[in-house]
Amino acid sequence: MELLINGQRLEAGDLENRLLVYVLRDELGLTGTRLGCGAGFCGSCTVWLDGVPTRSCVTPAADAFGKAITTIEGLADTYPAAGLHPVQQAFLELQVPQCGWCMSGQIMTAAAFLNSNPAPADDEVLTALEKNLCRCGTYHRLKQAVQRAAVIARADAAAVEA
Amino acid sequence: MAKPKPRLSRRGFLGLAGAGLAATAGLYVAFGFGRRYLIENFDRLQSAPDAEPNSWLAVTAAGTVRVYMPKAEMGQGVHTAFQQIAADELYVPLAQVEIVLGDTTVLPEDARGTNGSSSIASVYPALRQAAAYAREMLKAEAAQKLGVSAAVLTVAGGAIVHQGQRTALTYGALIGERRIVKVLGEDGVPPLKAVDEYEWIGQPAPRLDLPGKVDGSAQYGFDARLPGMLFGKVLKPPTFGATLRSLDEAAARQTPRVVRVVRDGEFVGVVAETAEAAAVGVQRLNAQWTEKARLDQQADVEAALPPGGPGGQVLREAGDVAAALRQGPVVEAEYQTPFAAHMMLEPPAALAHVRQEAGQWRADVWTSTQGASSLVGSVARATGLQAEQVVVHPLYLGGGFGRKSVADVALEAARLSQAAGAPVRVHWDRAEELQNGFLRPPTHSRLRAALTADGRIAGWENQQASGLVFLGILPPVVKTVLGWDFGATRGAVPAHYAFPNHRTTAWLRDTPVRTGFWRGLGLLPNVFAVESFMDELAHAAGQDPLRFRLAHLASDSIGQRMRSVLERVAQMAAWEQPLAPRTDGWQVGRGVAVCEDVKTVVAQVAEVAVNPATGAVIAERVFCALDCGLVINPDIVKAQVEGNVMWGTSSALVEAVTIKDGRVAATNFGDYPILTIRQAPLVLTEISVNKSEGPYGIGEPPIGPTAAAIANAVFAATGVRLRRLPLTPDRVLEALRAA
Repeated sequence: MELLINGQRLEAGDLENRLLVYVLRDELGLTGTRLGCGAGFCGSCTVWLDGVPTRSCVTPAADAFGKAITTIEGLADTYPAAGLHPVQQAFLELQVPQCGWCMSGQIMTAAAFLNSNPAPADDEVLTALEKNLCRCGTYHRLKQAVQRAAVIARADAAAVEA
Repeated sequence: MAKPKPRLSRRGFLGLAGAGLAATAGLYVAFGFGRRYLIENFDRLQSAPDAEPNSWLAVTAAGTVRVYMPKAEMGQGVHTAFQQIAADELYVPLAQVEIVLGDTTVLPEDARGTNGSSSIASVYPALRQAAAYAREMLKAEAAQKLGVSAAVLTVAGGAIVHQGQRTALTYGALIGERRIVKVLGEDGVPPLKAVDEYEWIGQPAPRLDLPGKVDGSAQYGFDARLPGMLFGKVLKPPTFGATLRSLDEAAARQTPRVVRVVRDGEFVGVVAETAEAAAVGVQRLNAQWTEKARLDQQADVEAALPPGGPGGQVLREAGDVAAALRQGPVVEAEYQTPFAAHMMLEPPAALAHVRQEAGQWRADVWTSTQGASSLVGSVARATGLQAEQVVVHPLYLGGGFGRKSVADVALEAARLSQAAGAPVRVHWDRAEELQNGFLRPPTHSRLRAALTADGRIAGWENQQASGLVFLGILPPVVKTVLGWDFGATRGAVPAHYAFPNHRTTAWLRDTPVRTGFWRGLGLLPNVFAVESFMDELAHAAGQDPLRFRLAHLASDSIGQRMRSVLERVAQMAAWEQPLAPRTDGWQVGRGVAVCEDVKTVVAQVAEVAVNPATGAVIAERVFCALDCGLVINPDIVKAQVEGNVMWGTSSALVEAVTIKDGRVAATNFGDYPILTIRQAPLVLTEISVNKSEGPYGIGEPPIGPTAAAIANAVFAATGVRLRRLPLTPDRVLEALRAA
């Protein structure tokens, strides 16, 4: 079976009784999608299906067939400007990650959120991210980085319009 | 039926490269006395003589400085700190220093592992010396070439400077095509760069590991892949102490995609083409167990825990505590902390490839580990191989926190790989980890103190009981060597206070579930007890809790440094100005707590809001002032403070493991919540400038005061004292109603 991942059709093998997270990681080597809890609690495995953040550890791989899958490896390509996605830029700028295992999920969740809400209130950021756990305790920087990413994205958008 | 061949991604599979590095040209500086050097600094347990030179540092023919660092990167930023240290001592730009992510054939042996907030404190002097040796050797070489004395030469930007002019003699040009190995003896220490001249140390250099952590390319133990790899899962007993009675190997073997069932006594595992199938295969084993006649329960643990009885170990005794307690009014309180889990987000995982090549056995293991060196021996024992036949490839850790000092999952992968004749990856799911990993042990502390008429502590007694920490993991000889399980009592004896009469006694309790290292070991539980009690004494004496602590500080260096951070945190938090009351019914309060650990001193003030109707506690802000001596990278220190405060807040408010019917009751984050971003306090940190000592550790010390500061703040807000963690809404409500 072929899956459409980051704009490419990839042969993913027999998808019967397979979870999307293992197909991405073990079959296709897209290990940037991390497996954390295996039950949808922590959000480390978040990918986009047709742009919607989805927990790949509880998603049958067959359910992703026919949908556009975006993983952390393909995130930057979804953004019109060159280089990293603004969320990735902001996470580097504020030196957010510690161990980093939750970060692909945090970034994919935050990026989808900012796509739908480019100028969020602080409380909206908390609502968007409160189901993504971080054990190292980067929350303090995470909050600031999402707002910083929104600023970068708005500046990019303004530059395009100008 | 053959499974369709997956297309290789651009990431591809692992290669076995790495060992080739050491064969290239360059100047290699090794500690011939490396092992002993390490042991004298931080390891009293293992003392295997070291025949092999341990390369710590190399300057390549291209002029690049390579650091062979035997410490794991688990998010604490050590790689970046070592880059800064090497760059400074060799006078090169940061970008000219590479941290070699090598395997155990390339990295120096490190029996200690990466734990105890010891990496910077122990490696800083060694790496500095290695770098200084390399620099001085290169200067001597240049002096010969230029026909001048080395004393008139300096270095800058990775090149020799003579009479104020940069010469063509770069490090790379001096080395050329030669391979030079300098094994350091005890022939004196080269001149070291003055601390005040540091260019990189003290700067917030960006973390080396972060680009790969935001674009997904960083490789962790769980990410390792090899062509033809299979996936394994090992059968585990359902309850503590259960023994296997029967199982259905055939049913498991007939599971689609299962390749084989491995059985060696009670070790039973399933190897499959996919991770999903391996898990199903283990279920299909339909294992039947003989369980303990009486299953372990939380109430049994708590009943056995309180301090007292035989086996108490006096940790500190000064003056005559009994006499002091007879004289003054006595304050007494008991504090309890529960089992807690690590819940690092990358679960235990390892890939092993154990095979025969040309008649020779060889084992390779890729994993996230805090102890790559000691894992070599463990894999050798598990597979019957010689240590020389085992190579461990440590990768990034998706969180360690003490849990990944024990690599049980790697041994499972090695045994299954050996039996299956193929590379096998094993990972533990959350329920498996909670039940079969290990936990922070519960503690129960009974404190008593007598106050003088003018409100000074006349006598202090701490009776502390805990489950095992070192002894839960390490062999019993540890207790003989060290004299006690000091992991369990870390933080129980406050060295920064001077009490005229003081006795601290500790007891150890066995628990049905394995307990061991957890971030800070006993630090958080013990500081919770000590610093909550200091608060109670301050209130009993009618004194301000912050001034009460200042009045009891020791006059030595630790006490003086503690005074400085306490005064600083009071300013940061505007301690003298009362918090503005809220109009929405929530009650607000502020609490202070301090601790000293690995010579780092920490003072924190927490501001909390309590909802008297629901019992909810929110930690709004935590201020932290600390002195960890010389700071290598202030931004990384801040990040470690922030992380520790989140851990402390999480432990204070939400985390607890209980035992029910022979099992750990929790199975995942659903029933073992950890702090969320919505519950996270704002963390404001200030680091003292103190270049005259250290560097001291930072990975754990700031976890110490947070829970106590929060509980003390809850008292300030509500007038009720909570002495048992976590401070859940129902406990807070119960206490409010009883008040």
